[in-house]
Amino acid sequence: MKRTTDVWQGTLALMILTTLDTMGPQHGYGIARRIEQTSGDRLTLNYGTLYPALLKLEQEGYVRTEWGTSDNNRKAKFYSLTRAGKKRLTSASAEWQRTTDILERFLQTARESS
Amino acid sequence: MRTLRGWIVRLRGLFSRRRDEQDFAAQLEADLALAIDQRIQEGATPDEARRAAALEFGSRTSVTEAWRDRHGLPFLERFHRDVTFALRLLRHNPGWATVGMLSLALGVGAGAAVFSAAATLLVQQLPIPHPRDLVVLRWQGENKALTNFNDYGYVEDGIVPSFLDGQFDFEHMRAGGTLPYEAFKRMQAARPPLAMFAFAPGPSVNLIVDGHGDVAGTQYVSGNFFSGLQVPAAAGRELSVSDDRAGAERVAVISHEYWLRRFNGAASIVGKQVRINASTFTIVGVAGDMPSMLYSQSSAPEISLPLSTEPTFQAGSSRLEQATSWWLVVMGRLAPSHTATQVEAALAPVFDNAVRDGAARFLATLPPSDVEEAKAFKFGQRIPRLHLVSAARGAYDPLPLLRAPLTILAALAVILLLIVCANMTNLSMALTAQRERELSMRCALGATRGRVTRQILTEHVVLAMVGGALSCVAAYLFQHTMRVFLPTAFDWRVIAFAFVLAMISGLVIGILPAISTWRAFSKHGGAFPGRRTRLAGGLLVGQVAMSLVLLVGSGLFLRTLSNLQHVDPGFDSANLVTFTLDPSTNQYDAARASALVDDARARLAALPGVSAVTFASQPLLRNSWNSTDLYAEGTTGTTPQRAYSLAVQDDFFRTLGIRLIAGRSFTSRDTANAPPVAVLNATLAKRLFGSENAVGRRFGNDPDKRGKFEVIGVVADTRPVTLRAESPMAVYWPHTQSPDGPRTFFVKSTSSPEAMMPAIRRVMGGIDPAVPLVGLSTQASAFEDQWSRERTTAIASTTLGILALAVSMIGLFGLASYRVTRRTREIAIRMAVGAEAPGVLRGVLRESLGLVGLGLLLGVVMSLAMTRAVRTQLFGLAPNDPLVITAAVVTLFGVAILASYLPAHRAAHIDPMATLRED
Repeated sequence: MKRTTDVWQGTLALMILTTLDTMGPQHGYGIARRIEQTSGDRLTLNYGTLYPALLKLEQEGYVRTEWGTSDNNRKAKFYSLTRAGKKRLTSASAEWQRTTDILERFLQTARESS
Repeated sequence: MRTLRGWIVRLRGLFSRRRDEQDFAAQLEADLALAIDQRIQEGATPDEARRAAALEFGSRTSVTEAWRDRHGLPFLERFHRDVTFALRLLRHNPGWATVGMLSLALGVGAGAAVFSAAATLLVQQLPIPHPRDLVVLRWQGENKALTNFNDYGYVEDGIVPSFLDGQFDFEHMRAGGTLPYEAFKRMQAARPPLAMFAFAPGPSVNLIVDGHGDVAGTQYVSGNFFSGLQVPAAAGRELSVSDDRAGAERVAVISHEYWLRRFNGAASIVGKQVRINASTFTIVGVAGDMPSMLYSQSSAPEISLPLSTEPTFQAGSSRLEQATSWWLVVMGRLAPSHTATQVEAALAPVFDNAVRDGAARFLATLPPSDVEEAKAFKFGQRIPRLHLVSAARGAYDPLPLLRAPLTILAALAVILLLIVCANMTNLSMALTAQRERELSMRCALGATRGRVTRQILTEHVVLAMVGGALSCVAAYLFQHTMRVFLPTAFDWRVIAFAFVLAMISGLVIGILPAISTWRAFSKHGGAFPGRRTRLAGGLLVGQVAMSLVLLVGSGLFLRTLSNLQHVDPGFDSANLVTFTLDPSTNQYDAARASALVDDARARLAALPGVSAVTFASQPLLRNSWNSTDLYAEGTTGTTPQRAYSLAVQDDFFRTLGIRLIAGRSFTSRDTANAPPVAVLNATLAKRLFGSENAVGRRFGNDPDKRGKFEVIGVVADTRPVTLRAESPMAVYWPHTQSPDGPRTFFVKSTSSPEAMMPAIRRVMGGIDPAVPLVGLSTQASAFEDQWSRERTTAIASTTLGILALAVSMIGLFGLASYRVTRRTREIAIRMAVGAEAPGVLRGVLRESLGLVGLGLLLGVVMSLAMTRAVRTQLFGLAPNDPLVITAAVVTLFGVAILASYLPAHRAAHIDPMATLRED
């Protein structure tokens, strides 16, 4: 059985923003697939988590939506980053970087002392 | 900032929900299609692709639900939806909804009215400035310095003058609320840090303004009374210290309420010369709006007179001069930063000296022989202590007296509310169980159990809201009715309280069904536990028990009322008008008073429609009496027989239909100078002489003069004071030989007594318009007043009892129906294998009535324990009256049979085949 991890809400938002930043406008299914692929299939997304997260980002003005046509000519709702979304991505990833750095140091100290 | 924006968008989302939801559904559909395409591209068959994609996306309902939680303001929307759903439920279960709302309305309404009345009474203070600074000066301990005593209200350890509690007895008093005038003056002269003022009720007088008379109540007040209370005059001026001096011009102040009632608030009354009885007074002002200082609940007397005018209305010696007459209520306002204890300590020696001096002065006026007797009695040697008590609620705190009716009412209200809650819990549990399938279905369709549980609670909140609105109306009506018991003004807080109480009750009722639903959908995976029927049975037993208590209570009060109404007072009160004349308040001396009374009698007797006129020294059945100590001739005992004592006119017995058993009645020959005679009632004759035939025997009212009076007749027993007490021993004197004091007239007419009143007023006005006709009313109204309170209690408790009965019987019906519904299958199977309909009927009945029986048993025990508390409120029966308890049990059991028969009947007519096929 594949080991999967549940996605924590805050990190999911960051993943979505990163995905949209690198891939450009994407529909919900595309975002989900991309996140799963990027994680090396270590993450499975629950759509009951993904859609509310997308909606929250939209409500906060970080992403905008429009209906468009997919590569294989299907109608789909596309999400794209807004200017505020780009800014948010920069600040959030910096913040995340800081947090992981600090944590990393802690864990390293713990490893060294043991 | 972004979060705020999010909330605003969500708020907006409330209004575009339908469109947004359609949009989301389309999005979901599109993404699903993309997922299927992707899988087909990867080489899956369309069917496999569809299945796999559907599996990946999960339940559409729960995804949409999750999205919805984020969209708009879900809690608001959910609440709205829940409410809509709850309203639908209410509509579809009108029985449950109606019983719920009505019983909540009644239970909560009654409760709210009682509780808020209690709360109001507890915090109520005099509506005058700074009531907390007010104190009243009382005495405590043995008091051997009084010769006359008036008290006007309830003083703990004092005595409540009551005919029932035995005779008025100074010796056992250990506290009192009144002081002698001299003590007041001397304490005032000591200049304590206390603004002292005094007052006492005065007589009813005739206030004649521009030739028109009206009977009004009075109070004597010290000159600084109004300034001490800090209530400014509404018009004109207050009384002042200079008005309260012997020889000052006679002035009076009228009460605000009387000013509006009689004079329509006209300013012209100020400065007017009026006559009060026989004397001329000037009305100098109208007092500010304030209640009586005696009881904060009643309105102030119509006229306030300076204390110095007291001799004007007193034929004998003035109480201002009698240092052993305790009659004046003394109050004071504490100076800032002084406590009652300090002032009490400062005044105690002054008070002690004043009382001692007063007693000594009284002893000095006595003849030597009486002085010895007084000294043996230790007169003047036991002086009570001064005791300062808060007067924030008035000189006499009404609360101790209201505590009993208040407690009974509160207990009844709590019981009713408990019954209502228990009952509704049962009905709601039954309803929830009936909805088992619906609820399971909703869970299966994706509703979480939190969602379903919340739905149940919401339903009860909605029920409580509607019930709460109704209970506000009920609370208003109850409070209105309760004014008889609890004179509290209407208060909006009652409404608020009723609503809150209804909401709380609603939640309490909903909590068990909600909990059981919550449990049902967790452990048992959708099955409702059967355990709850035991709980329902327990609730029903409790309800039946409490209903029985209420029924027994109402039975007791109903029988009390009926007993009182059927008491034979021993005299005929039909077609009698009574009123009292007290010519001494108009400065009449004994001879003029006697002439006035005779003249009045003659002129009244001449009125057309009047068949007889007589008078006595006291009214009947108005809770007033005099008593005398009697010693039979030929006995040597020093313990007297204390008898009710009444001076009567010759026609008294005949006019009132009091039967003469032996001897004769008084005649015109029994004049003041004739040999002293008396008539006894049968009880007294037997007690004094051992036989009803006491004519010719002698007795005295002094142990040394035991042969003073001759018994000329014996009459039948009556209840002259109150219907509640057994016939007292009674002695009647000829009015001519006991000439002092007021006279109460009894005018017997051949037609309606009410119609006689204007004529009586006219006749009396023709004799002396200045003499007030006090208490002009029919004797029948005195009779009714004797049980008006009991009637209210009986009506209130019977209403509560019937309500409780109805509520718990609906509960029984609901529970029995619910059980039959639950056991339909079981019953059907039993009938299919041969059980007969009558057997099934009996089975269901036995089950219901078993619970009822248990409840009745518990109820009887509870009744026996609880009704003892109302013993003093009953008349003619004990609190454990077997008839009442039996009747209550039979009634409840009878109704219970009816309530369980219908469900049982339904059970017995289950069609087994149809039922079993259904499942």
